[in-house]
Amino acid sequence: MKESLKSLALALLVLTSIVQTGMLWYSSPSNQGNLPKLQHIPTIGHKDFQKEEIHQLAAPSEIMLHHDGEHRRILPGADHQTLIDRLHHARLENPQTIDPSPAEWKKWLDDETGLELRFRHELPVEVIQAFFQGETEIPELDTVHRIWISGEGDNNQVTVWLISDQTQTVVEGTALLQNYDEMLKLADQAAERPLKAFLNGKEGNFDEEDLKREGAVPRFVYLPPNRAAINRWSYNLEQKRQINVEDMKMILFRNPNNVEKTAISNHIDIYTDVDSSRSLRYNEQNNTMVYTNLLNDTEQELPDPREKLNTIISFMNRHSGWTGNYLLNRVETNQDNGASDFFFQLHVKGLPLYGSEPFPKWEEIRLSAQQGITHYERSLIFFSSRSGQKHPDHLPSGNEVREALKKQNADLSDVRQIYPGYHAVTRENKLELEPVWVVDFYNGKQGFLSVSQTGRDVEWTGAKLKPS
Amino acid sequence: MRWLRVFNSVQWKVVVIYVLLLLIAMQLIGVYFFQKLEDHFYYTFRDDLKSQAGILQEVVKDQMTPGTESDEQKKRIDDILNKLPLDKSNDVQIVDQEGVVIATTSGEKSSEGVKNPRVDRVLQGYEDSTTEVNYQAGNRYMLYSYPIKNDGRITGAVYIEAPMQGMYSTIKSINKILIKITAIAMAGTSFLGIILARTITNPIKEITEQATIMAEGDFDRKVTVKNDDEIGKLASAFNHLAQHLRNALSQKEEEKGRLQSVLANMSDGVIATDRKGKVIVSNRRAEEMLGKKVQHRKDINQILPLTNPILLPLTEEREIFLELDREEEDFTIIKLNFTPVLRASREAIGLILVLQDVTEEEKLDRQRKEFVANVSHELRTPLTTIKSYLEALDEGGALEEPELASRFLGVTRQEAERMTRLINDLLQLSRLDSKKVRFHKQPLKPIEVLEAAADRFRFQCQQKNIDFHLSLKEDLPRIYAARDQIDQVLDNLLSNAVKYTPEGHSVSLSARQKADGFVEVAISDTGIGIPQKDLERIFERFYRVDKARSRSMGGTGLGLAIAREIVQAHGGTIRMESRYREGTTVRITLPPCEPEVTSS
Repeated sequence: MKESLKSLALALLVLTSIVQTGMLWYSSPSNQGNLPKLQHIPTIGHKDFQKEEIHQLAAPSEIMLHHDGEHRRILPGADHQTLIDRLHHARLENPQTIDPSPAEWKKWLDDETGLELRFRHELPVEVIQAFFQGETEIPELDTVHRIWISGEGDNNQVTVWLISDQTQTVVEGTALLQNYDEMLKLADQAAERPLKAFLNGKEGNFDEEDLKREGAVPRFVYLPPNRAAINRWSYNLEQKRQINVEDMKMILFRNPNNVEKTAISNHIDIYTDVDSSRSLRYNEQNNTMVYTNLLNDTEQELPDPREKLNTIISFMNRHSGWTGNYLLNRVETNQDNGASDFFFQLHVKGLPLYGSEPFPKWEEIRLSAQQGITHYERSLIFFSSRSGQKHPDHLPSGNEVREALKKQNADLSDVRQIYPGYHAVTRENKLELEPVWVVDFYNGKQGFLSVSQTGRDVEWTGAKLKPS
Repeated sequence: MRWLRVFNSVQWKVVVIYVLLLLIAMQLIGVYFFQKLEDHFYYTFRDDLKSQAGILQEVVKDQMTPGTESDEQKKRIDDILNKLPLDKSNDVQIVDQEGVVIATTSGEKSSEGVKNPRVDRVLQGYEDSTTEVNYQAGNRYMLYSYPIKNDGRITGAVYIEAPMQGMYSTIKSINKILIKITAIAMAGTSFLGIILARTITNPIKEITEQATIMAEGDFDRKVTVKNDDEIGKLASAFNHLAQHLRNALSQKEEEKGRLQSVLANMSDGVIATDRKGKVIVSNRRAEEMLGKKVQHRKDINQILPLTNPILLPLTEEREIFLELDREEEDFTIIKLNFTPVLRASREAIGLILVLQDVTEEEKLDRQRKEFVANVSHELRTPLTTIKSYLEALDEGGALEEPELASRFLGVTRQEAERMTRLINDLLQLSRLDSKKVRFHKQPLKPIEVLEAAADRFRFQCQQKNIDFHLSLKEDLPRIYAARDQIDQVLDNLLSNAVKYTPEGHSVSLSARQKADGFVEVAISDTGIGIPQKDLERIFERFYRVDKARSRSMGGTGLGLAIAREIVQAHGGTIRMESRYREGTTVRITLPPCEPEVTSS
């Protein structure tokens, strides 16, 4: 019995040693087999809409060509892009604050030939700097609303005015624009029909008194003398395209495998990663999403909006997040964290799109960036611009606009700016993009003027109260 | 399973255990060595990657400003990666803060713009670096992640995917060498193990063989004591043991022989049984006494013709007398003595049966009883006669008739004399029995003794008209005897011859020297003879063939018994030959005074 036990013990010892050897042999080194794989980032939009540089993304919604008292609008498109790109090759030099006299303004309006880049809102001066080469310091200017480029084209030397309507400040500099004449020719080709300039509701032939009354920097509004022909676009709602929230998850989280989904209501899910620094709130009903990255938010703020925009460009290009021609509309300071929120406006056929009735937030993308993207808010619905059907339509004439404003107990002196755009409405299972005059009042309210469906009247939508 | 028996030996056990222990030791050493070797290579490999990643981090960090990456930046990083003397077999990736690959050394640019979640923990700042091993397409790869830091901020990561097959090839080569060395060492040590085992087991084997032979009965074996180690001591002890065994067995054999001899030659029969009564030992005497073969393993109750069988197991001694009637003998009485063999716990484990032939004792007892009865009878007969005649004299008035009284007294005297003779004879026999008689032996010439005896009976023979012949050889040697006792014997025998020989018949007395030198005296008659059946008992005391005749002739019935005692006391013999109704011859032999041998 004892001998058998000894033999058994020896056999077990040998067996154990062999098993142990085998285990050690095969277990070392350990293979962390189920490692996350490299993941291709899904792309959701079309590469055509990608913006490579700030000046492309922050391009003005309109460029006005002024020539011998004639004012013509150049809407975003290929030529618009070319003009901006050419401007980008110029280096701004000797910028200094000036205080133009009413005579100079009059001259500028009536006689000068030049291009006026009109932004919808005041943009940080650093963003404007990105339109030029180099890092030229621009004094006494925080924001810029317009850029005025004029000159005779001698030695391609042009004068550049950076105008802030908000602070009534003008900074003048010079720039060397290669083939400036060609630029003007291109602008001439691209520009639409001439418009009439209005100042404080007065139409044309402004004297110095008019200009002096306006202030240091006069703000002109341009309207067509007659109805302007423009296409209306309609899209089948079935043609809408939806971004998969799972794709967004893949895009937005470093390790999508570690993301947890939490349903906080019937229509709202929140996706968070392990350390909860990132979250994605998905509203299934509205098809909207809001992504925040608190970790990036807490880090030191980047001082320069250009860096933020570059971050945004990299980020959006990486997943082809621009599902249309989005251009920087405005930069707002977040009241909660003091960060800069960048709002990008969708432009269809060169015109900004308004009206979020059918699909909330689909016309605008909001992005914030610090070390990385801290906030990303958008609709998950988009339409391919190629799928629309066009119908001829018109924009009301200048007089119709003035009449319509009168009906709203307002006039052009209340209007900060007025520009063409599309207003989205749904009719009979179709998304209709109606051409409208977008009217921004000084009080911040906004309204839309369009030709009625009968073609006889002008319809007003938007702000109803008299702005005062 | 026969081949397994090969291993059922100490030699192979020692070899197998030795080899297995060696194997275990080598395995442990090998595994430990392998682990340490692998660890060393592993950490060296990792440190190399760490060093590479560190250099890359230093070079690339300035290009990794968060959020500002552009094609130009990517190009710059690509240039850096191309210019650095990096191991081309490694796939180095520069990953931005979002975990997206922005540059890689692998030819596949498709991996750029791809998200690499493996650097997640490094980017999150949870770990300074991560090292993982992964299998891809049959090869191991070390995946090393290292953060790119700029002013303390993590702006990206260096990710290196390095194939480890080179490292493992080296380890494999070293392992092969180790395994070869192990195999050679195993073979060598196994060979040495066999030799060692043989050194140990061969003497044991020899002892085993000798022990086996000893077990078969040959104790004249010795093993060679080669040295004084434990095995040598074992061999010496074995030899010593063998010597002792030889002596012990020899003693045992002698003892056994003696016991068997005792058992075989015992006058008593012995039968031993086990506790169930099965015979395990018996001797020849028991078979003789029982008159049949005692078979071993046979039940004792089947062997013994007992009326009541013995109840087994027997716990107390028991004694039984068994009378066997046999055709050739009158009877045999056997005393059976049963003795249980008990353990200390009083448990019976067997039985010893001793058989004693008590036939002679019984016969003697009977003879004694018969002798007493005979003596009583012989004494009572004359006493009764005397008493009767005396009473007749007293009561019958015989005294008034002198003749009758005289006749009565004569009868009374005659009976008294007879009683006297009887008593004398008894006394003489008693003395002879107790060897109290002192014989005055002296050399006698037989002729003188015999002629004197003849002279004493010649007259009686003439009176009975019996022809008496004396035939003596002249050269008879002298005998050494007591004259009186020899005369008594001759008188007795001649008296008997004359008594039981009718008239007209003859009695002869002759003597001769036998070949052995003894003097044989023969007294022959042509008388009534003795039946054959009485012949054997004729020398018994009080034995009479014809009691009435004998008594009437005045015999005491003790004459022949006395004669035999006397002759035997002289170293001679007495025997009787007789034919019924034809005659009787009594021959006595007496030793010569000087031993001499004569031709017969």
